[in-house]
Amino acid sequence: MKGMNLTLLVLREIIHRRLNFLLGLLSVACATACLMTAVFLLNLHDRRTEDLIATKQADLERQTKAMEAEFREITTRMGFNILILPKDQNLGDFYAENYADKTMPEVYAKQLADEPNIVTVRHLLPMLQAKMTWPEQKRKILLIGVKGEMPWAHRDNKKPILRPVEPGTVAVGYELHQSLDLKAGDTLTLMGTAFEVADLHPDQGTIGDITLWIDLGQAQQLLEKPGQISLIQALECACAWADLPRVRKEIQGFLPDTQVIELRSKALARAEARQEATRMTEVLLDSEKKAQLALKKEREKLSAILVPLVLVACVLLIVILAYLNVRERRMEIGILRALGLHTAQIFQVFLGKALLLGLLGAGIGILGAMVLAAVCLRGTVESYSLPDTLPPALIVTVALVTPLVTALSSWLPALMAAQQDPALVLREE
Amino acid sequence: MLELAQVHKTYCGPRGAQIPVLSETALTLKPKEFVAVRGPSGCGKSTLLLTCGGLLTPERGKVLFRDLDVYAQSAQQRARWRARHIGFVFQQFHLIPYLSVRHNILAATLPQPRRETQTRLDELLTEFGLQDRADHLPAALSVGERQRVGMARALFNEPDLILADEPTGNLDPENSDIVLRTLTSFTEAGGTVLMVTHDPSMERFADRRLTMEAGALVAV
Ligand SMILES: Nc1ncnc2c1ncn2[C@@H]1O[C@H](COP(=O)(O)OP(=O)(O)OP(=O)(O)O)[C@@H](O)[C@H]1O
Ligand SMILES: [Mg+2]
Repeated sequence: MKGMNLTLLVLREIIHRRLNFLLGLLSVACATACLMTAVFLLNLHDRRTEDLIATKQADLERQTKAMEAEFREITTRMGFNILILPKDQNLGDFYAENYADKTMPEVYAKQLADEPNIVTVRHLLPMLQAKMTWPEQKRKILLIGVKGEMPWAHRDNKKPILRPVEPGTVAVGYELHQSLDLKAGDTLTLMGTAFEVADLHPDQGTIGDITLWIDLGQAQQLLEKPGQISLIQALECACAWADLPRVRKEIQGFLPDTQVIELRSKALARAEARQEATRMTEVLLDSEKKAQLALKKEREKLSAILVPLVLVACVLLIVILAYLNVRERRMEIGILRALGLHTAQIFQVFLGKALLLGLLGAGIGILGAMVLAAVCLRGTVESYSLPDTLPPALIVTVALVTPLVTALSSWLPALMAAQQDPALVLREE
Repeated sequence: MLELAQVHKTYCGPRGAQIPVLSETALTLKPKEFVAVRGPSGCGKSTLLLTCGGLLTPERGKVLFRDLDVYAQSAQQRARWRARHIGFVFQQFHLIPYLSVRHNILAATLPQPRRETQTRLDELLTEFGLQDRADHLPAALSVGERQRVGMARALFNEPDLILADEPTGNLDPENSDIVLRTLTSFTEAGGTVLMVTHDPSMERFADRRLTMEAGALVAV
């Protein structure tokens, strides 16, 4: 280096007073690295949370889709089951006792089956029920008269879904055939009429265990309710799920003297439970999202306190170091003034040093933070890229703003240097 | 060349005490003149030199440099004027500790960069016998060599006036001689020298000798 200029002066001085400069450098590098690492950690955590929630969301969607498919299948394959009851039947009593005491004309079933517009109902089972005391045995029973299945007038490709009970035969509930020791082929007497035991029902744990099933016609005769039924079971209604109102409207429009209630199947109940579970998962996921958001806010608040603290400490240290540097260089400033340098040039010398400090410090800090981030990323299972978690815009901003901050921090000491009276030091011999 | 007219300078001591240093001081330096000022320590010699060099504004009176009122200029103009016309030499040399001999001499070009510095530098290094020390730091030099560097720096811009504050105060007779001879040849080449000292033996080269008494200059 042959010539002489202010830059050379600054560089020589920095090399000469390394400790002062290195301390400043360290503080700037620490501050920038701290800032960048805080941003990096926040970003990394955000990424992770986003990914985690996305995975859970995808799981939930898959689960929901599978369940919806299952639901569709259940509802189309099995439909759902409804009961058509007389309009004056008290539903409270029916639910409480599982027994309908009011009756309606049997022709309703026939009319319903013959109606081509009622396309939603597949199987119609008219029944007559009576809770009574079996006069011959002196015990409470439920007598049900069934007609098997009503023929589907405009369709013929269906199998009956209940075993019909032939006139003169009886199907016996578990409790009854156990206690009376009945076998198939035995004969029992009910209200003076003899019935051949045709079917022995297995244990059900319901009112079915004390039920006798006989032919509907015979039941009407015995109970003296000719042409009357208590209810019609409509099974496997082929209609879209949750369309009970439509079924109800259709049937009630056609048979205004009736009311329609739903009999839930086990498969449907299970599907509904699963739907409920999915809904719960959604709610949980939602609350997890909210919790993560709250956590993020907490973290941001923490770094919003910590990072400025580090920055303020760094600025303070730079101010102090710059001030010490100016004090140490009082004589030098006097000499430069005697040589003819004016205040602006002296100011430049000190500000230039501060800018260099900021630039170098930011460079080291950024590099350090990037290395730290890279090491951190290598240790993670996910494959996040460095620019993802440490955006280039941030790096550029830090690289540009840091020299500005160091320059501003050194402003006052530099001003002091420039304003210093050279006569004061030059006379000190 | 340089004229001090009724220059008055008072320092403010602690508790408002006034310390008059220069009072009604008058001095006229003619071109090519070598003037020596003698006086006891603390009489205000350094103050006089700084005032002449535009570094210390007097309360009253004028400092005229070739009819230019030095203190009527702005601080920046005065700095530029100093860089162009004035060379300072100090008893303590006042070299910049982290610059090599070469760069300490070249520091004279900091206020206003100039061309062909290399030939001028070589010239001065040779003149002061510093060729081999060009890359050394001041700390590695003997005091005599340091003052030679100081002289070279003061002479680098070929000033019109050299203000020397006891330039031989720390030197052995041999180096003192070199300094005084240099100052003499500087006046012979057209320059003006104002040198303060308290050693009467150093005045032998001066064209004019003055003493400072109670802030005024009196011819010997
Ligand atoms: N800033 C100041 N405040 C108060 N008094 C001062 C100040 N600077 C100098 N003085 C006083 O002014 C007087 C002149 O000082 P100056 O340095 O000019 O003397 P000097 O003749 O150069 O002394 P020496 O021969 O010891 O170098 C001294 O008495 C000194 O104490
Ligand atoms: Mg002095």
